[in-house]
Amino acid sequence: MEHIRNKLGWGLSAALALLLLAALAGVVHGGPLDPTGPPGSTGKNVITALPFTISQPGSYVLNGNLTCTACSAGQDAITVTADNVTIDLQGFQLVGVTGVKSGISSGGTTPRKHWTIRNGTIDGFSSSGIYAVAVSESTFEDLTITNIAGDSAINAKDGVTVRNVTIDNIANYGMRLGKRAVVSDCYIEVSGGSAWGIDAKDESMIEGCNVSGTSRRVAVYKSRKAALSKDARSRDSL
Amino acid sequence: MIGIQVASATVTGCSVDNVSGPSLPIGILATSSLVESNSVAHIVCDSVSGCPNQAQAIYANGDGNRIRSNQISSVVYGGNTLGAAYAIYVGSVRNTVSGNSFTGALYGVSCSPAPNDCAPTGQASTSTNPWINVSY
Repeated sequence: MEHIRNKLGWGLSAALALLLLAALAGVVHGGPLDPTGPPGSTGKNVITALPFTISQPGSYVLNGNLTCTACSAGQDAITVTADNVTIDLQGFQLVGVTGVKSGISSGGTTPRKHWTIRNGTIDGFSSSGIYAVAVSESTFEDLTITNIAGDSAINAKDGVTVRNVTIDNIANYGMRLGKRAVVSDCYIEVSGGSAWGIDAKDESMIEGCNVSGTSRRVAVYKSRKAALSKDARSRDSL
Repeated sequence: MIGIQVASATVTGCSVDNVSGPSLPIGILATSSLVESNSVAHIVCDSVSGCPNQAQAIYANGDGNRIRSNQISSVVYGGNTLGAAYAIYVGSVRNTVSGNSFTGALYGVSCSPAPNDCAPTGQASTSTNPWINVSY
Protein backbone atom coordinates (compact mmCIF):
# COMPACT_ATOMS: atom_id res chain seq x y z
CA MET A 1 0.00 0.00 0.00
CA GLU A 2 2.77 2.36 0.93
CA HIS A 3 4.43 1.49 -2.34
CA ILE A 4 1.39 2.57 -4.29
CA ARG A 5 1.14 5.88 -2.36
CA ASN A 6 4.76 6.61 -3.12
CA LYS A 7 4.18 5.96 -6.81
CA LEU A 8 1.11 8.27 -6.94
CA GLY A 9 2.98 11.00 -5.10
CA TRP A 10 5.88 10.89 -7.52
CA GLY A 11 3.53 10.90 -10.52
CA LEU A 12 1.60 13.90 -9.25
CA SER A 13 4.75 15.81 -8.52
CA ALA A 14 6.09 15.08 -12.00
CA ALA A 15 2.88 16.27 -13.68
CA LEU A 16 2.86 19.54 -11.72
CA ALA A 17 6.45 20.14 -12.63
CA LEU A 18 5.73 19.64 -16.34
CA LEU A 19 2.79 22.07 -16.28
CA LEU A 20 4.96 24.69 -14.58
CA LEU A 21 7.67 24.29 -17.18
CA ALA A 22 5.15 24.51 -20.05
CA ALA A 23 3.62 27.71 -18.70
CA LEU A 24 7.06 29.27 -18.32
CA ALA A 25 7.97 28.26 -21.86
CA GLY A 26 4.80 29.79 -23.38
CA VAL A 27 3.57 26.48 -24.67
CA VAL A 28 0.08 26.96 -23.17
CA HIS A 29 -0.15 30.61 -24.29
CA GLY A 30 -3.57 31.66 -25.80
CA GLY A 31 -2.03 32.71 -29.11
CA PRO A 32 -1.78 36.11 -30.80
CA LEU A 33 -4.83 38.42 -30.79
CA ASP A 34 -4.01 40.28 -34.00
CA PRO A 35 -5.56 38.87 -37.24
CA THR A 36 -3.12 37.05 -39.41
CA GLY A 37 -4.59 38.44 -42.67
CA PRO A 38 -7.56 40.17 -44.35
CA PRO A 39 -11.08 38.81 -43.84
CA GLY A 40 -12.18 36.03 -46.13
CA SER A 41 -14.50 36.48 -49.14
CA THR A 42 -18.20 37.28 -48.48
CA GLY A 43 -19.20 35.10 -51.40
CA LYS A 44 -20.53 38.06 -53.40
CA ASN A 45 -19.42 38.65 -56.94
CA VAL A 46 -18.82 42.24 -57.93
CA ILE A 47 -20.08 43.46 -61.29
CA THR A 48 -17.51 45.98 -62.41
CA ALA A 49 -18.31 46.49 -66.09
CA LEU A 50 -21.10 46.14 -68.61
CA PRO A 51 -22.24 44.16 -70.47
CA PHE A 52 -22.10 41.38 -67.91
CA THR A 53 -23.42 37.82 -68.05
CA ILE A 54 -24.39 35.82 -64.99
CA SER A 55 -24.43 32.13 -65.76
CA GLN A 56 -24.01 30.74 -62.26
CA PRO A 57 -26.24 30.96 -59.17
CA GLY A 58 -25.04 33.29 -56.46
CA SER A 59 -24.98 36.81 -55.12
CA TYR A 60 -23.86 39.67 -57.29
CA VAL A 61 -23.40 43.31 -56.33
CA LEU A 62 -22.58 46.66 -57.84
CA ASN A 63 -19.92 48.70 -56.13
CA GLY A 64 -20.64 51.85 -58.13
CA ASN A 65 -22.80 53.34 -60.87
CA LEU A 66 -22.44 51.52 -64.17
CA THR A 67 -23.32 52.85 -67.62
CA CYS A 68 -23.60 50.50 -70.55
CA THR A 69 -21.37 52.51 -72.87
CA ALA A 70 -19.60 49.41 -74.12
CA CYS A 71 -22.85 47.67 -74.97
CA SER A 72 -23.90 47.23 -78.57
CA ALA A 73 -27.31 48.21 -79.84
CA GLY A 74 -29.80 45.48 -79.00
CA GLN A 75 -27.64 44.09 -76.20
CA ASP A 76 -28.69 43.84 -72.55
CA ALA A 77 -26.66 45.40 -69.76
CA ILE A 78 -26.82 42.35 -67.48
CA THR A 79 -27.91 38.99 -68.85
CA VAL A 80 -28.83 36.27 -66.37
CA THR A 81 -28.94 32.70 -67.57
CA ALA A 82 -29.22 30.91 -64.23
CA ASP A 83 -31.65 30.26 -61.37
CA ASN A 84 -31.11 31.37 -57.78
CA VAL A 85 -29.45 34.67 -58.53
CA THR A 86 -29.45 37.74 -56.29
CA ILE A 87 -28.39 41.09 -57.70
CA ASP A 88 -28.00 43.82 -55.11
CA LEU A 89 -27.47 47.17 -56.77
CA GLN A 90 -26.45 48.52 -53.36
CA GLY A 91 -28.04 51.87 -54.05
CA PHE A 92 -26.19 52.41 -57.31
CA GLN A 93 -27.47 53.04 -60.83
CA LEU A 94 -27.56 50.78 -63.85
CA VAL A 95 -27.77 53.13 -66.80
CA GLY A 96 -28.44 52.42 -70.46
CA VAL A 97 -27.53 54.38 -73.54
CA THR A 98 -29.48 54.70 -76.78
CA GLY A 99 -30.20 51.34 -78.34
CA VAL A 100 -29.28 49.20 -75.36
CA LYS A 101 -32.11 46.77 -74.80
CA SER A 102 -32.79 45.97 -71.13
CA GLY A 103 -31.13 46.65 -67.82
CA ILE A 104 -31.38 43.11 -66.48
CA SER A 105 -32.63 40.37 -68.76
CA SER A 106 -33.10 36.64 -68.95
CA GLY A 107 -32.01 36.97 -72.52
CA GLY A 108 -34.80 34.77 -73.81
CA THR A 109 -37.72 32.60 -72.83
CA THR A 110 -35.93 29.74 -71.10
CA PRO A 111 -37.77 29.26 -67.77
CA ARG A 112 -35.86 30.63 -64.78
CA LYS A 113 -36.73 31.07 -61.12
CA HIS A 114 -35.66 32.48 -57.81
CA TRP A 115 -34.17 35.78 -58.79
CA THR A 116 -33.91 38.65 -56.35
CA ILE A 117 -33.13 42.09 -57.70
CA ARG A 118 -33.01 44.89 -55.20
CA ASN A 119 -31.88 48.21 -53.94
CA GLY A 120 -31.00 50.58 -56.75
CA THR A 121 -31.93 52.41 -59.93
CA ILE A 122 -32.32 51.14 -63.49
CA ASP A 123 -32.51 54.00 -65.96
CA GLY A 124 -32.76 54.64 -69.68
CA PHE A 125 -33.27 51.43 -71.63
CA SER A 126 -34.97 50.95 -74.97
CA SER A 127 -36.90 47.75 -74.11
CA SER A 128 -37.34 46.95 -70.41
CA GLY A 129 -35.88 47.74 -67.06
CA ILE A 130 -36.11 44.12 -65.96
CA TYR A 131 -37.03 41.69 -68.71
CA ALA A 132 -37.82 38.44 -66.93
CA VAL A 133 -40.67 37.21 -69.06
CA ALA A 134 -39.99 33.56 -68.22
CA VAL A 135 -38.73 34.09 -64.68
CA SER A 136 -41.01 32.99 -61.83
CA GLU A 137 -40.98 32.89 -58.03
CA SER A 138 -38.78 35.94 -57.81
CA THR A 139 -38.58 39.21 -55.89
CA PHE A 140 -38.02 42.73 -57.12
CA GLU A 141 -37.79 45.26 -54.33
CA ASP A 142 -36.59 48.72 -53.38
CA LEU A 143 -36.04 49.75 -56.98
CA THR A 144 -36.47 52.88 -59.07
CA ILE A 145 -36.93 52.22 -62.77
CA THR A 146 -37.09 55.24 -65.06
CA ASN A 147 -37.08 56.26 -68.71
CA ILE A 148 -38.03 52.98 -70.36
CA ALA A 149 -38.96 53.47 -73.99
CA GLY A 150 -40.05 49.94 -74.87
CA ASP A 151 -42.05 47.08 -73.44
CA SER A 152 -42.15 47.60 -69.70
CA ALA A 153 -40.32 48.54 -66.55
CA ILE A 154 -40.79 45.02 -65.18
CA ASN A 155 -41.94 42.05 -67.23
CA ALA A 156 -42.03 38.83 -65.23
CA LYS A 157 -43.85 35.51 -65.05
CA ASP A 158 -45.76 33.81 -62.25
CA GLY A 159 -45.43 34.11 -58.51
CA VAL A 160 -43.31 37.22 -58.30
CA THR A 161 -43.25 39.70 -55.46
CA VAL A 162 -42.79 43.36 -56.30
CA ARG A 163 -42.55 45.78 -53.44
CA ASN A 164 -41.48 49.34 -52.89
CA VAL A 165 -40.81 50.02 -56.55
CA THR A 166 -41.03 53.43 -58.21
CA ILE A 167 -41.54 53.52 -61.97
CA ASP A 168 -41.39 56.79 -63.84
CA ASN A 169 -41.60 57.87 -67.46
CA ILE A 170 -42.44 54.68 -69.28
CA ALA A 171 -43.96 54.43 -72.73
CA ASN A 172 -45.94 51.21 -72.40
CA TYR A 173 -46.36 48.98 -69.35
CA GLY A 174 -45.29 49.72 -65.82
CA MET A 175 -45.53 46.07 -64.83
CA ARG A 176 -46.54 43.03 -66.87
CA LEU A 177 -46.85 40.18 -64.42
CA GLY A 178 -48.07 36.63 -64.56
CA LYS A 179 -50.23 34.73 -62.10
CA ARG A 180 -50.00 35.00 -58.30
CA ALA A 181 -48.12 38.27 -58.33
CA VAL A 182 -47.98 40.21 -55.09
CA VAL A 183 -47.44 43.90 -55.67
CA SER A 184 -47.29 46.39 -52.83
CA ASP A 185 -46.25 49.95 -52.17
CA CYS A 186 -45.48 50.92 -55.71
CA TYR A 187 -45.63 54.24 -57.52
CA ILE A 188 -46.05 54.23 -61.29
CA GLU A 189 -46.11 57.26 -63.52
CA VAL A 190 -46.69 56.58 -67.19
CA SER A 191 -46.27 59.03 -70.00
CA GLY A 192 -47.64 57.24 -73.04
CA GLY A 193 -51.29 57.64 -73.99
CA SER A 194 -51.60 53.93 -74.65
CA ALA A 195 -49.61 52.90 -71.60
CA TRP A 196 -50.83 50.58 -68.86
CA GLY A 197 -49.81 50.86 -65.24
CA ILE A 198 -50.10 47.28 -64.00
CA ASP A 199 -51.27 44.21 -65.86
CA ALA A 200 -51.40 41.24 -63.49
CA LYS A 201 -52.89 37.82 -64.14
CA ASP A 202 -54.95 35.43 -62.02
CA GLU A 203 -54.74 35.30 -58.25
CA SER A 204 -52.63 38.41 -58.00
CA MET A 205 -52.76 40.86 -55.13
CA ILE A 206 -52.14 44.54 -55.67
CA GLU A 207 -52.07 46.69 -52.60
CA GLY A 208 -51.11 50.26 -51.85
CA CYS A 209 -50.05 51.19 -55.35
CA ASN A 210 -50.34 54.58 -56.97
CA VAL A 211 -50.74 54.67 -60.74
CA SER A 212 -50.71 58.04 -62.42
CA GLY A 213 -50.64 59.40 -65.95
CA THR A 214 -48.96 62.59 -66.95
CA SER A 215 -50.54 63.40 -70.28
CA ARG A 216 -50.56 67.15 -70.77
CA ARG A 217 -53.91 66.81 -72.49
CA VAL A 218 -55.42 65.57 -69.26
CA ALA A 219 -54.94 68.97 -67.75
CA VAL A 220 -56.99 70.50 -70.60
CA TYR A 221 -59.83 68.11 -70.07
CA LYS A 222 -59.65 68.51 -66.35
CA SER A 223 -60.83 72.03 -66.92
CA ARG A 224 -63.56 70.84 -69.28
CA LYS A 225 -64.82 68.24 -66.88
CA ALA A 226 -65.63 70.91 -64.35
CA ALA A 227 -68.76 71.76 -66.30
CA LEU A 228 -69.63 68.13 -66.78
CA SER A 229 -69.26 67.37 -63.13
CA LYS A 230 -72.20 69.65 -62.36
CA ASP A 231 -74.33 67.23 -64.32
CA ALA A 232 -72.94 64.23 -62.59
CA ARG A 233 -75.58 61.77 -61.63
CA SER A 234 -75.90 58.16 -60.69
CA ARG A 235 -78.08 56.05 -62.93
CA ASP A 236 -77.81 52.79 -61.03
CA SER A 237 -79.34 50.94 -63.90
CA LEU A 238 -77.40 47.80 -64.49
CA MET B 1 -54.20 53.90 -71.00
CA ILE B 2 -55.34 51.51 -68.32
CA GLY B 3 -54.29 52.05 -64.74
CA ILE B 4 -54.54 48.51 -63.40
CA GLN B 5 -55.81 45.39 -65.13
CA VAL B 6 -56.38 42.20 -63.18
CA ALA B 7 -58.17 38.87 -63.37
CA SER B 8 -59.13 36.73 -60.38
CA ALA B 9 -57.15 39.10 -58.25
CA THR B 10 -57.39 41.60 -55.44
CA VAL B 11 -56.80 45.32 -55.76
CA THR B 12 -56.96 47.22 -52.48
CA GLY B 13 -55.75 50.53 -51.17
CA CYS B 14 -54.51 51.73 -54.53
CA SER B 15 -54.74 55.12 -56.15
CA VAL B 16 -55.22 55.57 -59.88
CA ASP B 17 -55.06 59.10 -61.20
CA ASN B 18 -54.90 60.90 -64.56
CA VAL B 19 -55.71 58.01 -66.84
CA SER B 20 -56.39 59.21 -70.34
CA GLY B 21 -56.38 58.00 -73.90
CA PRO B 22 -58.32 57.64 -77.09
CA SER B 23 -59.12 53.95 -76.78
CA LEU B 24 -59.09 52.60 -73.24
CA PRO B 25 -59.26 55.29 -70.61
CA ILE B 26 -59.99 52.92 -67.74
CA GLY B 27 -58.84 53.24 -64.15
CA ILE B 28 -59.19 49.63 -63.00
CA LEU B 29 -60.25 46.84 -65.36
CA ALA B 30 -61.26 43.76 -63.41
CA THR B 31 -62.42 40.22 -64.10
CA SER B 32 -63.62 38.02 -61.22
CA SER B 33 -61.77 40.20 -58.77
CA LEU B 34 -62.13 42.05 -55.51
CA VAL B 35 -61.68 45.78 -56.03
CA GLU B 36 -61.88 47.45 -52.67
CA SER B 37 -61.01 50.73 -51.00
CA ASN B 38 -59.27 52.31 -53.94
CA SER B 39 -59.24 55.89 -55.13
CA VAL B 40 -59.77 56.50 -58.84
CA ALA B 41 -59.73 60.03 -60.24
CA HIS B 42 -59.44 61.99 -63.48
CA ILE B 43 -60.30 59.36 -66.04
CA VAL B 44 -60.51 61.10 -69.38
CA CYS B 45 -61.37 60.19 -72.93
CA ASP B 46 -59.10 62.69 -74.62
CA SER B 47 -59.88 62.06 -78.28
CA VAL B 48 -61.83 64.70 -80.13
CA SER B 49 -63.40 61.93 -82.18
CA GLY B 50 -64.52 60.07 -79.07
CA CYS B 51 -63.52 56.85 -77.40
CA PRO B 52 -65.09 53.65 -78.71
CA ASN B 53 -64.72 52.06 -75.31
CA GLN B 54 -66.01 55.06 -73.39
CA ALA B 55 -64.36 56.15 -70.15
CA GLN B 56 -64.70 54.16 -66.97
CA ALA B 57 -63.15 54.55 -63.57
CA ILE B 58 -63.79 50.88 -62.73
CA TYR B 59 -64.82 48.44 -65.42
CA ALA B 60 -66.15 45.02 -64.37
CA ASN B 61 -65.21 43.30 -67.55
CA GLY B 62 -65.67 39.70 -66.50
CA ASP B 63 -68.09 37.93 -64.22
CA GLY B 64 -68.23 37.88 -60.46
CA ASN B 65 -66.42 41.00 -59.33
CA ARG B 66 -66.85 42.50 -55.90
CA ILE B 67 -66.48 46.25 -56.17
CA ARG B 68 -66.84 48.00 -52.89
CA SER B 69 -65.88 51.08 -50.89
CA ASN B 70 -64.03 52.81 -53.69
CA GLN B 71 -63.85 56.58 -54.08
CA ILE B 72 -64.29 57.77 -57.63
CA SER B 73 -64.11 61.30 -58.98
CA SER B 74 -63.94 63.06 -62.32
CA VAL B 75 -64.67 60.65 -65.12
CA VAL B 76 -64.85 62.67 -68.31
CA TYR B 77 -65.72 61.90 -71.89
CA GLY B 78 -63.88 64.48 -73.89
CA GLY B 79 -65.04 63.81 -77.42
CA ASN B 80 -66.80 66.34 -79.57
CA THR B 81 -70.08 64.72 -78.70
CA LEU B 82 -71.05 63.97 -75.17
CA GLY B 83 -70.30 60.31 -74.69
CA ALA B 84 -70.51 57.94 -71.84
CA ALA B 85 -68.35 58.36 -68.80
CA TYR B 86 -68.97 55.90 -66.02
CA ALA B 87 -67.80 55.70 -62.46
CA ILE B 88 -68.43 51.95 -62.49
CA TYR B 89 -69.32 50.13 -65.65
CA VAL B 90 -70.58 46.58 -65.33
CA GLY B 91 -70.30 44.63 -68.54
CA SER B 92 -70.91 41.20 -67.11
CA VAL B 93 -72.96 39.25 -64.56
CA ARG B 94 -72.85 38.12 -60.92
CA ASN B 95 -71.16 41.26 -59.67
CA THR B 96 -71.73 43.01 -56.39
CA VAL B 97 -71.23 46.75 -56.17
CA SER B 98 -71.51 48.35 -52.76
CA GLY B 99 -70.49 51.35 -50.73
CA ASN B 100 -68.73 53.26 -53.47
CA SER B 101 -68.79 57.04 -53.71
CA PHE B 102 -68.93 58.99 -56.98
CA THR B 103 -68.41 62.62 -57.84
CA GLY B 104 -67.94 64.15 -61.25
CA ALA B 105 -69.02 61.18 -63.32
CA LEU B 106 -71.78 61.35 -65.89
CA TYR B 107 -73.08 57.98 -64.76
CA GLY B 108 -72.58 56.22 -61.47
CA VAL B 109 -73.05 52.48 -61.83
CA SER B 110 -74.21 51.39 -65.22
CA CYS B 111 -73.87 49.19 -68.21
CA SER B 112 -75.27 49.02 -71.69
CA PRO B 113 -77.57 46.04 -72.16
CA ALA B 114 -76.38 45.21 -75.64
CA PRO B 115 -74.20 43.51 -76.58
CA ASN B 116 -73.42 42.66 -72.98
CA ASP B 117 -75.59 40.36 -70.94
CA CYS B 118 -76.02 42.68 -68.01
CA ALA B 119 -78.31 41.11 -65.49
CA PRO B 120 -80.56 43.58 -63.70
CA THR B 121 -79.51 45.05 -60.43
CA GLY B 122 -81.67 44.92 -57.34
CA GLN B 123 -82.46 42.60 -54.49
CA ALA B 124 -81.30 39.07 -55.03
CA SER B 125 -84.23 37.71 -53.01
CA THR B 126 -86.82 39.13 -55.38
CA SER B 127 -85.04 38.80 -58.67
CA THR B 128 -86.07 36.14 -61.12
CA ASN B 129 -82.84 36.47 -63.07
CA PRO B 130 -80.25 33.99 -61.88
CA TRP B 131 -77.50 36.19 -63.26
CA ILE B 132 -78.50 39.22 -61.24
CA ASN B 133 -75.98 41.87 -60.35
CA VAL B 134 -76.41 43.30 -56.93
CA SER B 135 -75.91 46.96 -56.12
CA TYR B 136 -76.43 48.27 -52.60
